[in-house]
Amino acid sequence: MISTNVTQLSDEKDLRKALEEKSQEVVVYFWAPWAEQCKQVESVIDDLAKKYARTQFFKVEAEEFEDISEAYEISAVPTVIIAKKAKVVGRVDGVNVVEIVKQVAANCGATNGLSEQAATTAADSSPVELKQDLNTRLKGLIERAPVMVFIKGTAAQPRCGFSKKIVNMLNEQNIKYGYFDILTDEQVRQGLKEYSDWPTYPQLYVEGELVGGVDIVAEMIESGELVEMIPKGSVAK
Amino acid sequence: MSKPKVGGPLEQKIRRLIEENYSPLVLEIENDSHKHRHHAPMQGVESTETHFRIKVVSADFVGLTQIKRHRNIYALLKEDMEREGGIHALALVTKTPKEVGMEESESDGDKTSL
Repeated sequence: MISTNVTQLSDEKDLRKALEEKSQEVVVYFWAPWAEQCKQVESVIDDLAKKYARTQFFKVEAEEFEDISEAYEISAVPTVIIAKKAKVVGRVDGVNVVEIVKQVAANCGATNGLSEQAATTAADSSPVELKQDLNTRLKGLIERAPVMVFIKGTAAQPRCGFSKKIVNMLNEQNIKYGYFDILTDEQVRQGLKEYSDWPTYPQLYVEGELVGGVDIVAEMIESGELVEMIPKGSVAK
Repeated sequence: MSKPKVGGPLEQKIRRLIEENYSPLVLEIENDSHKHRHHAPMQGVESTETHFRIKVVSADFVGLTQIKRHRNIYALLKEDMEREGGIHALALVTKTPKEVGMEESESDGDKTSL
C-alpha cells in the first residue's frame, strides 16, 4: 500500500496549502537528481513517513522549485526542513540520518501519538554504527556541492587568516562553491581530519576529492591547474 | 662575530627531522606564532612555537603531487601537530630543485636556508 502522506511536489500551491491550512508540522525534503547521497535521505524520509502517518511529507526537487528553495535558504542538498505554519521548527543539512530522525521525532511525535522516547531508542547505535554514520555524514558533506570548502567561520565572515585567503581566492576565480563552518561542529572538525587524513583547515574538495589546503590551492591557481579541475557549472559568468 | 638567530626547541626539531628525511637543498622555517598570539584559539596556550611557515626544496619530492608532498611532511611532524600546545598551523611550500630552477645535485656546504 502506498503511503499517502508522502508527496513528490509537482505544484507549489500544494505545499503552500499544506503549510497554511494545517496547524500540524510538515516535513519538507529538498533533493537534487545529481546528488548521490539524497538517495539515502530519501529512504529515511520514506521510512519516517510510514511511522509518522499523520504528518505530511513533501519531496521537493530543489532546482525545480527555486522560489521555495530560496525562501528556505537552501544552499545545498539534501536538506530537510520541518515547518509548522510559517515557522521553521527544525532543519537538518546534509546526510545526518541520526539528526533527521531525532528532529522529526521531536517535532512530529506528539501529533502521531508517539513519544520522543521511542524514537531516540531507535536512533541509539553501537559505536561501530555511529562511526559508519559519521563517515556517511562526512561523505555527504564533502559531496554536498561540486566545489566544497571546509573553513573556520562562514564564507562571508571567515574566522581564520587561511580560511579567509582561500575564500578570497575562490571568489576571485569566480568559482561557485558550498562551504561548511567547522567551528560549528566539533564532530565534523575532528572526524574530517581522520577521514581525509589531512590535519589542517581549510580543506577544498572538488567533486568529492580532496584538493588540499590554502597553499596548494594558491599554487594551483598560479599554475592554472585549478581552473581546469573546476566543473563548468561551478564557474560563474 | 654575529650569531645566527636560533629557533626554539620545536623549530630545531622540525629542522632536524626535515634535514634527516629529505636532505633538502633549501630549508626555510619562519615562526609566525607571535602574529597569532592574541587570536581566540591561542588563548591559554603558553607556547611561542605554534604557527610555522616552512619552505622545503628537495629532490625527494620529484614525482609526487603537492598533496602527497604535504601529507609526507604532515606525517613527519604528526606527533607535534597532534599534541596540545604543539603546532597549530603550518604553511608549506614544497618544491623539487628543478621547480625552483636549481640543479638536482646537492649543493656544497650549508644545506639549510640560503
